[in-house]
Order: sequence, then C-alpha cells, then structure tokens
Amino acid sequence: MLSSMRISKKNQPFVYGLLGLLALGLVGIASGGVDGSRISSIGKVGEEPIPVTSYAQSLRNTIQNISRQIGRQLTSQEISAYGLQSEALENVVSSAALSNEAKRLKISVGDDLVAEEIIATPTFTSVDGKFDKEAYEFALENSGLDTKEYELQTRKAIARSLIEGAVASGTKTPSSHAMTLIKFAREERSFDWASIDKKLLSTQAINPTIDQLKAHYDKNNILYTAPLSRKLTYVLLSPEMLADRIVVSQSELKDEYKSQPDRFNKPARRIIDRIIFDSVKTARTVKDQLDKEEVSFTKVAEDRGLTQTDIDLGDIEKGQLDKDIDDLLFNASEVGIYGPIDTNLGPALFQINAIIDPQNTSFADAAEELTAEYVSIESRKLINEMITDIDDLLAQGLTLEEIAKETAMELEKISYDNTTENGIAAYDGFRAEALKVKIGGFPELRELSDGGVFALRLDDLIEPALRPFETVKDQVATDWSDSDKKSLLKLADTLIIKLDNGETFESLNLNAESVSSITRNKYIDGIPAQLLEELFSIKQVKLAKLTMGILCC
Amino acid sequence: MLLARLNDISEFNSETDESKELLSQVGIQLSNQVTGDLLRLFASALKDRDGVILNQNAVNQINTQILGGTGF
Repeated sequence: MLSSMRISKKNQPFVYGLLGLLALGLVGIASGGVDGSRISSIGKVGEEPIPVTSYAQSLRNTIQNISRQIGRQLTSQEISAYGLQSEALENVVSSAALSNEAKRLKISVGDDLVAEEIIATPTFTSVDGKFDKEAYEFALENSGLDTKEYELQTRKAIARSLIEGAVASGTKTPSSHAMTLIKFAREERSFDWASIDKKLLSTQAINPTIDQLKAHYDKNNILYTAPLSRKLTYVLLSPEMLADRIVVSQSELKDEYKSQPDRFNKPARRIIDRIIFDSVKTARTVKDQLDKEEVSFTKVAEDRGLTQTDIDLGDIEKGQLDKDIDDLLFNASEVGIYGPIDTNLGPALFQINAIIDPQNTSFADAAEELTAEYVSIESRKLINEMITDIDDLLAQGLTLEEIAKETAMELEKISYDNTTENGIAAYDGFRAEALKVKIGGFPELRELSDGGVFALRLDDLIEPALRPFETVKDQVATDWSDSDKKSLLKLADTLIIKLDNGETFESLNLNAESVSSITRNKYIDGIPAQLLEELFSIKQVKLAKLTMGILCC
Repeated sequence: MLLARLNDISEFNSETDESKELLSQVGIQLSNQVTGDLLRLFASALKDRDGVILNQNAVNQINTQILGGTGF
C-alpha cells in the first residue's frame, strides 16, 4: 500500500502528510506532532503560510548562487558554515511577512499583470522569444508546483514588490554620506619613523657594571631575601618501605578474585531505546518506514509526543529483560532497529544504540591489580602493628637517630620554607606539623594520609636573610635589564621633546625611514598596525607644527 | 620601541574625474545598502507585529533532504 503511494519523490511532503494521518488513525494517539496540514508549510507569519516548496526553492537558489560565485558545488559542511539555511529561511519568512501585509492592506493585482509577469520570465520562453506553455508547465513540474500554485505565488510576489517599492522609494543618500566615507578611506598621511633600541642607551647601560648591578641589588633587597626556613630532621615509615616484607598468598588472592565476580566478569550490555505501539500492525508499518530510512527513530518518537527521555531505556545488562526480548536484543550483533516484539506494555520496536560485549578478566590478568591492593592493605596493617612499639621508644626518650636504628623507620633531613612542596612536604599532615614544632620539642608520631607515619624535630630556625650578592648575581642582571626598558621609555620622551624643538632624526643620530602618502588600510613592513592607527588618529594641529606619535612595542 | 613623526596629511581630492566617478559609485552602493536595510527592518517589524510561527522539524527535514542531495 505504501509503495504504491510513493508515486514520485517530489510528492514526499504529500506522502508524509498522508502517513501522518494514517498513523493518527491507526494509533489513535492524540499528539501535536502528527498533523497533515503542517507538512505543506514550514510555518506562517500572521495568517500567511510559508509553503514548503518556497523554502526548498529558496534554499536551493541560495546554494546555487554561492556555488556559481565560487565556481563549484558546496559541501553540506560549507552550507552550514556559511549559514545558508538561515539566510534562505530569513528570505522566505520576510516574503511571507510582506505577503501578509499585502493581504492586510488589500493589495492585489489583476490577472493581466500576473500573465504579463509570467510571459516575461526568461525561463518560460522558447528559442524565438515567445512564451512556451510546455516549457512553463515542465519547469513548474520540476519544482513541485502546479500552474495554479505558481500563479498564486506570482500574484503575491507582485503585490510584495509594490510594498517594497513604496518602502524603498526616496532612499537616495546625500552625497556628503559617500564623501565622508571616501575621505576617511582615501586620506593619505606621510611620516618618518625610527626604532629606538637599547643600542641608543649608553654602552655602559647595555652591559651593566658590577657596581650598577650591586646598586640595583641594594635598592631591591626585598627581592633577594630568602624566606624564613626550618631545618628539620624526621623519621618516616611508609607503606612502600614495607612492601617487600609482605608475602602474597596466592590462595588469598584467589579468594579475593572469586569474592568480586561483578568486578571481573561484566555481562554483555546494550544501550537501548524503545517505542511502544498500539498494535503490531502499526509497529510493522513504522518498521517498514524505518527500514527504508524514510523516517528516523527519534522522529517516530517525536510524532508520538515522546521525548528522548521517554524512549531511553539506557544501559541494559543481559538477563534484565523478559527472555524473548533479551534473546532478540542480545543475539543482535549490530546496532539498529529490532522488532516489533510483544512486551507487557504492548508491541514495541527497539533501537540498539550500542553493543557492549561481556568483559571477563581472568585470574592471571587480575593478579597484578589484586596483588598491589593486597600489599597496600597488608603493609598498612603492618605499620599499625608497629606504631605502639615506636611510640614506646619515643616515650623512653630515644632520639630520632636511635629510632631509625631500632626500627624500620628511615631518617631524613629537609630544609622547609613556604615554597617547599616536594617529597614529604607534599603531605598536608607533614606541613602542619612542620609549622607547629619548636626547637627542643618532643617528637611525636603522626600519620600521613596514605597510611605512613612520621615523627619530626626542629633543629634550627633560619630567619629571613638577604642572599649574598654573588649567589643571586644572575637574577639581579635579569631584573636590571627589565628596568632598562623603563629607561628606554624615558629616552624616547627626551627625544620627542628634542624633535619638537626643531631637531631632526638625523641630528639625533636616529636611523629614520620615510613613508609618504599612505592610506590607513595599508601594511608597511616593520610597522605594527597600532602605530598606523595612532598616526591616523592624530588631528593635524597646524601644518607648520609637527605632531609626534609614540608607541611602545 | 618606535618613534614616528607625522609630516603631512593630504585629504582626498574630490575634484578629479576619477574622484567624481568613485563618489557616484559609492553613492549608488550606499543607496542600495540603505534600501536593503530599510526593507529588512520593515520586514522584521512586520514579523514582530504579526508573529512568526516556524515548524523547526519541517525545516530540518527539508534541510536534510536538500543537503543530503535527495531533493523532493
């Protein structure tokens, strides 16, 4: 039945309309999405419908125009990137708005004008320049229009052009408008320019002497001062240190593996959408359409007023659904649409969006992961067993050095300040303790977040101190040449004053280049765009007086 | 760092034949642009007043068919 209705492709909107009505009749779901009359137009402005054919035609024309301009076919990506769909849509919506206005103003034209317009259309004339009725009907058929519809559209177009003419009449712009624009674009300026670099500063200034650097160092002591620092001695026992003491029991690992079947053996899964139908017949009809790719699964859902959330069953594991559905979906080896099949809600079509195969990790593959976990847990246990003994030794007054000898703890030293963040200083617990301890304090055992334990002693507190010049010399030199830039700016200011007072680039030993009669949109090698912008923004004060532009680059 | 001195500003000379031609061309372009702007504004005022209803699904469907190259 369906195939006999598909007379030709150009009638598709019509077929969709009928299908919509058909679906409505069979399914009996009252939904806003299925409405035959809406398919013939894509919308309306006021009372004026926007025919599907107008939009399709407008889109094709827009694409063809651009294709002709660039001399090749556009890809659909380019069409989207240029926004041609919105441009075409904008055009037909505007036309509909004008037609609606024409109707409101009761503007229409007679048959003779319409006939004149059609006869004058070049596409419809034969070789001898006369109107060719056959060519006319043939062209219309190709565009999916009948003559009546086309004549109606032509009538509307003429009425629109009357309104457009009225709106556009008298839009001649004053000549001062054009003149202002041209004056802006065509104005030419001439200037001299020179670059000022470090070479212009005194030679001494470029290679600073030790004295200059020392002066900079003395002036900026705060930059070269080391922060408050703590010399710490600590003992540490971390789970990693004990790892080699842990004997891994294969039987315990196996037990561990067996106790977590869900973790190592994941069943097959399918990601699934489902639409329920009133009858198997409807479901089959829709399945046919889906198979022929006339409609998408999402569209079918939309037509029934269902959103993606309504049809989304999500991630289903094998065995969660009724046996026959389970078999259908899990025997399927490809994504796609399956069914119809009876469910307790009615006949349904399923769409498999993704197939996830079962994942089985063998004991051998899981062993490494399990071993690491096992060692980590066991070594933490071991540390916990040792804590009491170490605490006792500390209470007896043993030094950290002695503790390191007596136990598995390891002795380390660290110089800690507010910038230290490596190694043990990465632990919050350590940092907090490091700031708390006092010289001569009693070391106590503290825990780290990974299960390790430590105890520390403050040996010395180094107050903030100016670093000796020799150790920071390189830093001082870098800082000094940064300050050099400031003196360059000062130099430029001095030069500007001199130039203003009648000196020339030459007399100041500046290697200047001249640029003459240039417009503002030009590019000159070596000159940044900002400088041109600056030069064009200066208002000429007097022809005799020189105006200066300076930019820092 | 660059230092530049502006020496001269020469305004557009509107008296030459070439200038007059340019002036008239730009004038026409401007008129066309103004006409285009006016019509766009007029249409957009009509749209605001009368209301636009669009069926995005139908639009998308046409886009797919034309861009997919199947046509009607």
